[in-house]
Amino acid sequence: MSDVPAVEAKNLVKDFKGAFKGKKVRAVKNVSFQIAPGEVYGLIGPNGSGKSTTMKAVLGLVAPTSGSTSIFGRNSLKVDSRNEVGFLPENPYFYKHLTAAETVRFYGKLCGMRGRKLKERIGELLELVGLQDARDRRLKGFSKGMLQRIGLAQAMVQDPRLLVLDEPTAGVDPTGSREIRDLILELKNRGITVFLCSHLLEQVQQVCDRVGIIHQGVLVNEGRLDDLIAVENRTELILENASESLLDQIRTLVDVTHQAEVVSEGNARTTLEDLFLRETMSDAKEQAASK
Amino acid sequence: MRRFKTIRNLIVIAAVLAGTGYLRMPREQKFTQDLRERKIAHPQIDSEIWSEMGQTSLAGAFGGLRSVMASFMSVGAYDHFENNDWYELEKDYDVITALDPYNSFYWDSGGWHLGWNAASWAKRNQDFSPAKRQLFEMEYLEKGDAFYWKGLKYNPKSEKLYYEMGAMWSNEFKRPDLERAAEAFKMVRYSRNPVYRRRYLFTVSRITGREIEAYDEMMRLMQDGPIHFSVPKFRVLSVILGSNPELPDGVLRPQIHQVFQTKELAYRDLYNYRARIKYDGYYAGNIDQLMKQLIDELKVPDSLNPFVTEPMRPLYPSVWREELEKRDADAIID
Amino acid sequence: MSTRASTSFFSLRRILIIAQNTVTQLVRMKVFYFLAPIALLFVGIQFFDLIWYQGAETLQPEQELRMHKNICLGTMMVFSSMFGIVATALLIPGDIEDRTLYTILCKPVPRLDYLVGKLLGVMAVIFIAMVVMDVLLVATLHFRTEQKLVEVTEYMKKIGYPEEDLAAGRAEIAAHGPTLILQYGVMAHFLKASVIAAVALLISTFSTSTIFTIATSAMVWIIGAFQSVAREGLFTDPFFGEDPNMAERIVSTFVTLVFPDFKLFESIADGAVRAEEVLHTDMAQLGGFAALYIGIYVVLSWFVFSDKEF
Repeated sequence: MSDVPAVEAKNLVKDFKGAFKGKKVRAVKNVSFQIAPGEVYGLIGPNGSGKSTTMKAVLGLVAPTSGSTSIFGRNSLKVDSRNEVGFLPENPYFYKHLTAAETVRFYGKLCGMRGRKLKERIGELLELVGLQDARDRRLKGFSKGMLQRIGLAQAMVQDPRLLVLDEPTAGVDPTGSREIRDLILELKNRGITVFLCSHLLEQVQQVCDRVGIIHQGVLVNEGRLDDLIAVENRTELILENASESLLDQIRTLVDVTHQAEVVSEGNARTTLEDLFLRETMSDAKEQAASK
Repeated sequence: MRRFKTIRNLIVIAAVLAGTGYLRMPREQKFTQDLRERKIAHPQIDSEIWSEMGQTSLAGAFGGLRSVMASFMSVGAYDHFENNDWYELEKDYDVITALDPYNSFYWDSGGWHLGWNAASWAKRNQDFSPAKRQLFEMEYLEKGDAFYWKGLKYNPKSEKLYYEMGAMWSNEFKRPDLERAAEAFKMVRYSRNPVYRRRYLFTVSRITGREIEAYDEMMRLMQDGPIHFSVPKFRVLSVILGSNPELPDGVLRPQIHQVFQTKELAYRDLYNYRARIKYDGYYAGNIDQLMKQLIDELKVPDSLNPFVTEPMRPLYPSVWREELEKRDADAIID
Repeated sequence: MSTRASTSFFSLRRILIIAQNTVTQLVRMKVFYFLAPIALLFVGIQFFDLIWYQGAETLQPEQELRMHKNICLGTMMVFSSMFGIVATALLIPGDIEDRTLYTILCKPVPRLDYLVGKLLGVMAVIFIAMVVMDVLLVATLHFRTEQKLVEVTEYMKKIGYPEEDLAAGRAEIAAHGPTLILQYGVMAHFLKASVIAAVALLISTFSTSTIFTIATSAMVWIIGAFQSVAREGLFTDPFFGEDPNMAERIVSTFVTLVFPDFKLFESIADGAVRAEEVLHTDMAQLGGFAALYIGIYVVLSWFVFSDKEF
């Protein structure tokens, strides 16, 4: 793996002109972080914390007041750096007059792709994001989830090494969210770096390797996800088909050592999302079978 | 920082525009002058005219629709004519011709309204005293004349303007000034249009003392071939002018039998020409002698003898035939 | 392996891609529907004689044909200029509002390419519309000219025009029909519309509202029509003349230096309508001025747009 970080922000500061005359607002205060190639990095924080500004600085959409950002070693403000980047903005809108295939083709052409290679790539991406049946429909009639998916397709058209996703699952139903999450994991397996912003923490938890927490423009915490959320002095043990006698033995063993205690016990819980998916997908399967 | 950037941007934009403007200014001026000299670009509109322009024509002038505005205004000006509102009409035509000065049509229309319609209205207007009627009529004729001349300044090749000016000054129902009419028609005597070519001859032959000149013009037109001989007046003039005793010896003097197909046709044309001499001042020459000769030869009835009966104006071929038939019928009865 | 796109400073291919997308966008917005009433107008004026029309003997066919051309070319000029302003004024703010701009600028697309592509797209749509209108104009004018030629020929024969002069008389009328010189007039209007679109592009890069862009561009359109008046004042009355009205001089100087001279384009178009001898060299010069104006406005647009933040 290359030593050059996929994304690097060094002492990034960004000021904006405030609502009141002459008063500046410092949206990002001296933020520094690195994203290694192949990593999935989540930048989380409340609304107005500076996530989007940081992301835009990385993409070169805003110029830093001071400090710098780079993508695979190239200054973000240079057009060159965007060869390696695909970006999905929050609540994306694309040209409504274009069809799904035309949209991906347009962005592919802008990246220098052409001919059969582009044609094949369009087909591949539309299938990947599940829009092959809507390829000739104009975006005007697309739902939010479909727009999100076409956004992913255009972001990936030139097979970038870095994907920047701003709230990729915002407003998307659980099925769609799951698909996007699975897609991110698949991209990770392919070695693509993903930099995402979100305030849907559970979803960040499911996909990210490393996380940065930004609050009022300051990166307050950063590190590997497992390290950050692990409760150090507690251990979780999940058993399947454990008999009552085995459970008694474990309780007794804990009591005997006098070093640990059982904090809680009970049935392991699934998530509401898993329940939703199980119910909706089984319902869909039954309907398909009856047809 | 953002405010600084905005100010900086505006300064740079202004500076670049000013700098490039300074460089392109003389080239633009040169190009404009060249287009003006070749009459592709319109001349500048006079400051007086600006003040006369209404909002619509101003908008048209500024929006690059000068010719279009002129077209629409000329349609609107027709209303002033119908309402005899000559002051407004004149103002409108000042603006119309300022908007599209290289279009002779508007000068022609404006001159027509002033020199013909307004002058006629003034002449007939019973609200004025006779002296005032005459005065206003002359005033409008002069306005029409000035309008035509102004039009010719912008359209020096316009035969129509010369022709209309000449027609105005030669019209027997107005206040004819044949000298001025002749000067105008002289400018179109080499026109391709046979009608225009003839008018100088017809006018000059009405001016006492210029009969020789008329004869020379007639001889020039005869070189065009037979086209002019289709016009009765030309046929008559070719004979009458040729009868002028002051012509030098040896010049061509067309005779009746050379010019007219039949003696009847000759008599009819001479009859009509003679009837106009009193009103239009045409050169008489030896017309009386020629007519008396034809009266004897053709045994013309008294009703068609201008020396016996007051001449009709004009003598139509149908009337001529009727009178001859009556004569023949009377002869049989006798 | 990702595709390494050309990230040269200026890429014609990328510009054409953006231009093509702009054309598709405008076409699918059904902007060409306006051509229907224009077609009706062009065909309709065929049937209007001048109200004082007195027939061929007064030799007014020339004026009828002129009026036909004036109305049609005037319509083309108004449409193309207005469209140039409105379409361009809506493009960039529309892309910012829809955030499509983010996704474009996050691809390896220099901002200059984006601006030029958008402008070219608008110019292409204006061009297509003008071609359609031009075809209509030529067809209707041809029909009317043929009618007038028949009338005039009959009249000329009636009054005894010599044979050798008939052709010349007809040629004078035909010169007011659909000729190459008339096409120069159409081209002049297209060039003017392109320049005004470039002005709108520049204003839209720093304007905060579409209405401001449209209104300001329209003001430039109007002021550009009398820039030549201000300029000639400077050339005929020197700045520091005997009795300078300083305020007037300053305003004249400002107008002359900053605003384009749209009179040049209008003069060529007017001359074409009057069938004056507009030369190839005139068109070349006019094209040169148009290219200069457009170049300046595009460069300035890029200057403002290059460090604009979104």
